[in-house]
Amino acid sequence: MSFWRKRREYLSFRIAALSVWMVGLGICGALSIIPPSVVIFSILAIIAAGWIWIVRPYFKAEEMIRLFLEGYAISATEMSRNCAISPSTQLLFEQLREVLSPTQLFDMNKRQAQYLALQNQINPHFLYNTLESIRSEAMLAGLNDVADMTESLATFFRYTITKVENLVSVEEELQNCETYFSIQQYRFGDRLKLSIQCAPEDKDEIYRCRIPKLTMQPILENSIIHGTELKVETGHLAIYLERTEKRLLIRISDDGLGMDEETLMSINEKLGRGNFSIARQEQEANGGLALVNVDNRIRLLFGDEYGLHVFSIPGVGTDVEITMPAISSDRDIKNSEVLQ
Amino acid sequence: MRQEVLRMERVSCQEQGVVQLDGFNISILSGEIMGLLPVNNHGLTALLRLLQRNTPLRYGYVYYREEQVNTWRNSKQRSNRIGLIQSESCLVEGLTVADNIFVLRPEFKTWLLRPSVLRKQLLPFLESIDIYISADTYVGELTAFEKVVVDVLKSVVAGCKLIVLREISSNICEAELKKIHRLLRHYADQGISFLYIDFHFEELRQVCDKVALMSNGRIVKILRSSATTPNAFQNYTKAYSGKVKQQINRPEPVQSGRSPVFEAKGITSELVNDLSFTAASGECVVLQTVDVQVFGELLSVISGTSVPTSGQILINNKAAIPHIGKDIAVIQELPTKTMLFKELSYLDNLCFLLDHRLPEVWRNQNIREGIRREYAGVLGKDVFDKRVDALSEIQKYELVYTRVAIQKPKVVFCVQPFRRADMELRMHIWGLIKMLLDKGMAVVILAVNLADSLSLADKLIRIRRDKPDEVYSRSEFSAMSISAPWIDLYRDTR
Repeated sequence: MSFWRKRREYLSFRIAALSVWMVGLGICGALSIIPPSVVIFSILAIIAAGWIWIVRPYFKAEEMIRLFLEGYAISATEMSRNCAISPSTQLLFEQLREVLSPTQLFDMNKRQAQYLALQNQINPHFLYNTLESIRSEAMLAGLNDVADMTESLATFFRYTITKVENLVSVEEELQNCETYFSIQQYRFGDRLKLSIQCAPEDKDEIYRCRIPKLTMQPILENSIIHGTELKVETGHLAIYLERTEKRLLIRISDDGLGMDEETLMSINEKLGRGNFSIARQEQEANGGLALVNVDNRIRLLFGDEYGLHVFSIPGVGTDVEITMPAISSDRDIKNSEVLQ
Repeated sequence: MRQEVLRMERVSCQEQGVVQLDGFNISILSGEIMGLLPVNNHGLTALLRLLQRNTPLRYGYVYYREEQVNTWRNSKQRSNRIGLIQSESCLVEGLTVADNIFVLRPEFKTWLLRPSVLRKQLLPFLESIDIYISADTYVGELTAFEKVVVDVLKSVVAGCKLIVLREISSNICEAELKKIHRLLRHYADQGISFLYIDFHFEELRQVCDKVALMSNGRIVKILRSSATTPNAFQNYTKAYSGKVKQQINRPEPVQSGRSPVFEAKGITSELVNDLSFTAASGECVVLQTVDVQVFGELLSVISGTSVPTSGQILINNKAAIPHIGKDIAVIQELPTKTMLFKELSYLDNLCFLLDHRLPEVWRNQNIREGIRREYAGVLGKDVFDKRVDALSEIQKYELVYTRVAIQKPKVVFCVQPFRRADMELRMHIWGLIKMLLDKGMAVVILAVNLADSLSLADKLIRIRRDKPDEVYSRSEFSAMSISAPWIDLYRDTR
């Protein structure tokens, strides 16, 4: 009995068990051991059991494997629970769960975020432009501006490089965005404008919400580099913050170059199916690495119903919408173990 | 803190193997009027079905009032309490306004109906929106505008926190549409949200807080109305605008000395009062009215089915009862549904009513084969071998309009030709009407909403109740205070 109990979750065993019943019933029917009405009733019962125990779980397993193969974010736990065809497939999925555990994936994303931050630090253009600005400021005016710039740069690097895995308040993240923007403004001057907007009555609650560190700044940077930098007129950037009963909605908009439908679709596909895409090299070649990284960290922390989505029209601009649960304490995180 | 009434997160779904929605993302907050501008019809019906019935998803999540109601993992397929209002009303015509609003609710448990109580219950709703409709009027007797109002009230009373409106303006004039917009704003202020679907950005801009652009089953951009200019969607309307500009710059047919082929002189009947207009060969006349029933009456007078109280019809300056097919042709509203015969072949549909020009057409196979050969170059060879119901929407429209073009009538009446057409199809219909005009036929468009018709019009006649009709020539369009899509182009060329 315990042998059956252990194995009844597997489709292969269910098929075998029902087949045995069918054969037995066939023999009993043929030998007229049991009346035909009982045979018919038993066949119907076996068909019903087959539908519930075999066909439906089979279709569900098929659907899961198909989505997984298409690159959608299916957790390995879910796979091992729903796709168990035999003990060996169960073991396979257990193994997969080990490999693709949220902690490991988060760690991989964390390392990548640090890499991105370091890349910023050593980006020669970034440093060159910033230092050039400092130099010209020093030449043309007093030393106050130079001090301000240097301070901004130091603040930015300090925030960016330390403890990337931490959660911070929206207020802290916005401050970092403003610091980053102030550095960029020395380069772009009045050609770049940033506004932060939220309903005044919700401001305190929004600013208290906890979000992963470096959620907004990489997107803001993307908006400047890919959106407004190449624009001839003044580029307007805006961060809209909204809080609903359960969610925090952040929209980072630019009125820059935008992108065509095909590019937009490809970026959203990367975001929508992203948990494992971080390990793929193709992301780096096609761009959107920062977006995928932020999206992955959000999904790994809060679940795959949250994350990023991009909207864009060529010549009109791009919006990146970030959706997260509205939490004010680090204890409320769904997958808090990934932070340890 | 506002409630998020609807959130669709990366929703993908397919029907019969065709992906209808692909990574569809939208969020509507309480009290928000969200516009939805579909570039094409792809996925629109699936979206509405999904919103109402939570049909199975391929991927994604749907939240209604911040509760997860549908996911790709588990689709319970329960109905959401979301109101859906379309240009064809779903109200029961044989019941009164009060019955439709209060009685046809799942929560209504009373066995004994007391009309006086229902009347009392309805009164505060009507007073708050400042529109008066009698509670005892049968819905069948209401105008299109009043039906929309009743539909909105019905959804509000039923407790819907989200009401979807799909292309409601096709049967409603501009003044009434403004009242509807005020009504929506009134309920939006009370926390009810709206998803307002229409193919015209100008209309959405008037009332919506945000406008989402939908293309191929995806939302490509959401724009706040306050910050939105028509240029935002220029990429999607450039081709159409170009055609309209070309049309605006052509010489006016009457000015080029063409005499009228059709003349209505002082037509008076139950709903039409002393209507006079002329249409010259190659001229496009738009008749606008606030009441759709006027079209039916006008068409029956013109086709000789009913006799007007006074007035007469002149064809080529001679009083006559017009012959359908020979003198006039009528392209009905939604012609792909009302003017095609699924049982007949493509060729037979094309030759329908052609016997006045070619009396032997049904007896002589060679004539029909000749028509097939001649039009295969225009319509494509493949379509002749297809079943009519297997044709695409564009192919069906081509079939209807080419059939009319072959009949070579002097004047073609088109009833609301752009209704239910997405941006791509509208461009196509526009081209087909232009083809009729280029072939020298006069085209009379009967429309309630001027949106697309105005772009083709040489002359606009606004039929007024109890007032003389207003006539505008093309040069006067720019001075009109309406918000039709192409009115700016007329203003630019002034």
